[in-house]
Amino acid sequence: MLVDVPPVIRTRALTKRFGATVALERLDLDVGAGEVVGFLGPNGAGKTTTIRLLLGLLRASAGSAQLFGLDSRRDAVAVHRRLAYVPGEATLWPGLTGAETLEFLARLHGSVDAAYREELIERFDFHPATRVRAYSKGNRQKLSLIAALATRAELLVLDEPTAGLDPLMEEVFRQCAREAAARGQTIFLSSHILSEVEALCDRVGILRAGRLIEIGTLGDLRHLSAVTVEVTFNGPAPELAGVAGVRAVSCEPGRLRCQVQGSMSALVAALAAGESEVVQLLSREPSLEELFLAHYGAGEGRAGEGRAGEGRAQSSRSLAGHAL
Amino acid sequence: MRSERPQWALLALVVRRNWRVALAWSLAFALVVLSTISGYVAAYPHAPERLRLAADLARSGGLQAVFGRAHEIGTVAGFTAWRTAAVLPLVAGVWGLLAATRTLRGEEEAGRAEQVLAGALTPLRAAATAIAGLLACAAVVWLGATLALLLDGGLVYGFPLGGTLYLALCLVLPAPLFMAVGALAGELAATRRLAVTIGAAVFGASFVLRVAADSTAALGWLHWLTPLGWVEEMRPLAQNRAPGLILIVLACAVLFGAALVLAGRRDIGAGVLASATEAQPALRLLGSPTALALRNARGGMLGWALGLGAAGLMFGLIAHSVAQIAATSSGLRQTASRWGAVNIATAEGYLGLAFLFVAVAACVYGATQVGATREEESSGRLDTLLCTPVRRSSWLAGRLLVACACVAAAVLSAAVLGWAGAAAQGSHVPLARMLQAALDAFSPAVLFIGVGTLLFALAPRVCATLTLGLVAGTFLLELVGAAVKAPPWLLEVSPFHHLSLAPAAALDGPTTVALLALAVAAASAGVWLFGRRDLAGA
Repeated sequence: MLVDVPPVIRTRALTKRFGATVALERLDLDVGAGEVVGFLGPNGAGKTTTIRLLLGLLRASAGSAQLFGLDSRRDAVAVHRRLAYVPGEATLWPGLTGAETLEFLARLHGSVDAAYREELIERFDFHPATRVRAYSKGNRQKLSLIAALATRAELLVLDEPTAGLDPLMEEVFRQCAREAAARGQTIFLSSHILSEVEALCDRVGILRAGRLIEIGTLGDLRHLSAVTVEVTFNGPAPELAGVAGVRAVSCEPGRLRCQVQGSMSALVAALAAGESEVVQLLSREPSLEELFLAHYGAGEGRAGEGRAGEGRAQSSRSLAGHAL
Repeated sequence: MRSERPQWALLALVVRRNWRVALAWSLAFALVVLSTISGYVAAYPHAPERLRLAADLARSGGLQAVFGRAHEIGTVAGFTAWRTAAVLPLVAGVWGLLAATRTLRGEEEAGRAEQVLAGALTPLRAAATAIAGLLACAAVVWLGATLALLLDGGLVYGFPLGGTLYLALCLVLPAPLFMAVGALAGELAATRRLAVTIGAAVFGASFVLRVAADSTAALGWLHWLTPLGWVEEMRPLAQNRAPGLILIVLACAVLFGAALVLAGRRDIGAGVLASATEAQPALRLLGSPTALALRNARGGMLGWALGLGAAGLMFGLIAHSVAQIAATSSGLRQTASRWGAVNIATAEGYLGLAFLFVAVAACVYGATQVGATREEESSGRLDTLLCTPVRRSSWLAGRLLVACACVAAAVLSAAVLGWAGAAAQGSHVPLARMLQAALDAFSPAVLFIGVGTLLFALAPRVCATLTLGLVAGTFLLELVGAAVKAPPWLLEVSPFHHLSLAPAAALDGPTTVALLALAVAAASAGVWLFGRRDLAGA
C-alpha cells in the first residue's frame, strides 16, 4: 500500500471543547484530492467549529488536523496559500467597495485569476462599485464567493456558502462549484441545504451534537438505510408482522407501505406466500432529506444513540476503504 | 407574554447601554467641582490675593478667550462658576454628541434597530423613547454636578441656592443640546461616522465662534450665534441671566423635533442626505492588512490630530498670560508644584502642565485603538484576514504600528501647534522642547497600547474596557494619590507619575526608554499569546 500524496484534509480524533461543552468529539476525516465532500448537520452540530479548526482559527483541545500534510495551526500560512474560504456570514469592511474588497483579498491571497474574476462578476451579476455597507446579505455572500473562486485555490472551504443567495444565484454557484471540481479542486462544503449537498457532493458526512455519525457516498448511505417499498395488491392485506427487515408497515385497502432494511428476500417470500395477488411492487431509495430526518427526527431516544454508535462504526469502515 | 408598553423595554435598553459612562462623567463632574473649589481656596486664601487674580484675569485677553468671560471672579462662587463652566460644558457637549449618534444612528447602522422596529414600536416612538433614555442619562451627570456643588459650595462656602442650581444646569445643558445636534445629524447621515463628523463640525464651529466672541469686547455679539455662547450667557452665580437658557431650550426643542419628524418619514437604514453607495475604486493602501488598517484609521487620526492640535494651539496662545498671572500668585505656584518641580510662572512651565492633558488624551486614544483592534476580531473580519496567508503575529504587529502612528500624529500636532501658539504670543519656547513634550505624551500612550495588546491576547472580550479603565484609574491615582497620601510605591505604578512634564523640564531619557521598553515587552507578550489562543467572536 503506497500513499505518497497526503490527503488534502486529514483529521485524527480532532476534538474541541469550550469549557464543559464538547463542540466536536474525536472527528476522523479524510478528504482526498479532487473530492467534493459535504458536511451536514443542524445548527450547532459543530460544522463551523470543524471548519474553524481546519483553518487554524481555533486550537484543537485534542487530536490533530492536517491539510496537505501540514499542521493546520502551526503551518497555517503555508496551508492558507493553497486554500480559499467562504464564511457563512461574510463580514467585510463596510467602507470599501466591492472592487476594493476583491482587490484587497486578492493581494492578501497572493494569487488570483483576474480574467476568471471578471467572468465570475458577470455570472453572479455582481456590481463591484457599491460600498460593502450598502450590499444586501446575498450580495456580500456573492462577493465572498467570487473572491474565493477567483483564487483557483486547490482547496475551497465553504461554510454554508449559499446562505442569502436567490435560487438563480444558487444555481450559478452550483455550476461554478462543479467546474471547480472538474478542474480537480477539492471542495469541503458545510450546509444544511440537502439538495445542494445532494447535487454537488461525492461524499457526505453527517454531524450531530459534535459527532460524525455517518460518512460515505450517497449510495453508501442509502444502501445502509431503509428502502421504502409500496405494494399494490388484490385481496386481503398480506401479514408482514415479524418479517425480517420490515418495519413501519402502514396499510390502506389495496395498498401497503413499509420500510425494508437490508435484504428484500424475506419480504418477497412473505408476499409470495400470502393469499393476495401482488399487482405492483415499487421500491424507492430514501432521499437525503429522509436520511437526514432519520438521524434527527423528533423523539429520538436511546435508539438514536444506538444508531449513532452504528454510524461511527460505518464511518470508520468507509475511511478504511478510502485509505486503500 | 404580551408587553403593554414596548417603549419601556427600549428605554431600559438605552439607559443600560449608556448609564455606566454617564455615571463615570457624573463622578468626574463632581470631582472637578470639588477640586476647583479646594484649589482656589488653597491658592487664594485671602481677599487681597483674590482681587489681584481678578485684576490679572481682567487684563488677560488670551485666557478669557479660551476659558470664557470672567464675571465675579473675586469670590469662591464666582471663580468656581467661571472655571468649571470653562471646561465641563465642553465635556458634556462631546459626550452628548457621541452618546446620541451611537444610540440613534449606530444601532441602526448595526442593524439592531430593525429588530426593535419590527416590533410594536413605530420609528417615531422608538426615536422619542431613545431620546428620553439619553436625557435620563444626562440627568445622571447633572445629579453628580448638583450634589457636589450643593454639598461643598452651598453648605461649606455659602453659594446662593438658586445660582448654584443654575450653575449645575449650565454645566450639563450642553449634553442634551448636543444630543439634539447628534440626533438630527443621525437622521441626516446614513452612517454613524458621518453623523459624528457633522456633529463635530457643529461643535467645532460653536467653539471657535465662542472663542472669537470672548477675544475682544467688539465681537461680544457673536455669543448669540453659538450654542456654547448661550451657555456662557447664562452667567450662573453672577447675574443668572435667562435668555441663554431660553435659547438652549428652544434649540433643543427644535432640533429634537426635527429629528423626530425625519425619523417618522425616512426609510430605516437610510439617511436624509443621499449617501454615496457607489465609488470609483481607490486601490491605494490595500496591499496588506496593515495598509488597510491605516486606511481605515485615517479619518479618526485626522480628527484626533485636529482636536489635540486645537488644544495645543489654545495652550500655546494662553501660556504667556497664565505665566504672568502665576508670577504674582504664590498660591497658584504652590498648587502647580503638586504636579512636579514646575515653575508655572514661565510659559514652558505652564505648557508642561497643560501637556499632561495631551498625554491623558493620547492615552485615551491609544486605548480606543486597542478597542479598534478587538473590533476587527469581534466583527468576524479577522477570520477573513487570517484565512489568507497572513501571519497572526504580522497582523497584530502591523495593527500596533498603526495605533502608534495614530497617537504619534495626534501628539505631534498638539506639540507643533502649541509651539506656534506660544510663538504667536511672543513666548519663545524652543520647538525641540515641544517635540520632547510630544514624546513625553507619546510614551505612556504606547505603554497603554502595549498593555492593551496583552489584555487583547488574554481577555479579548473585555480588553477595550479594561484598557480604558486602566488609563482612567492610573490618572485618577496620580490626580488624588498625593493628596490622600497614598504610599509611594502605589504612585509609582501610574505612568502619569513618570512624565517629565516637558517642555517645563528636559525629557527624562531613561524614564522614557523604560516606558517604551515596558510597552514593547507587554506588546510582544501579547503578540506571542495571541498566536496561541482561539479567535473569539462577539
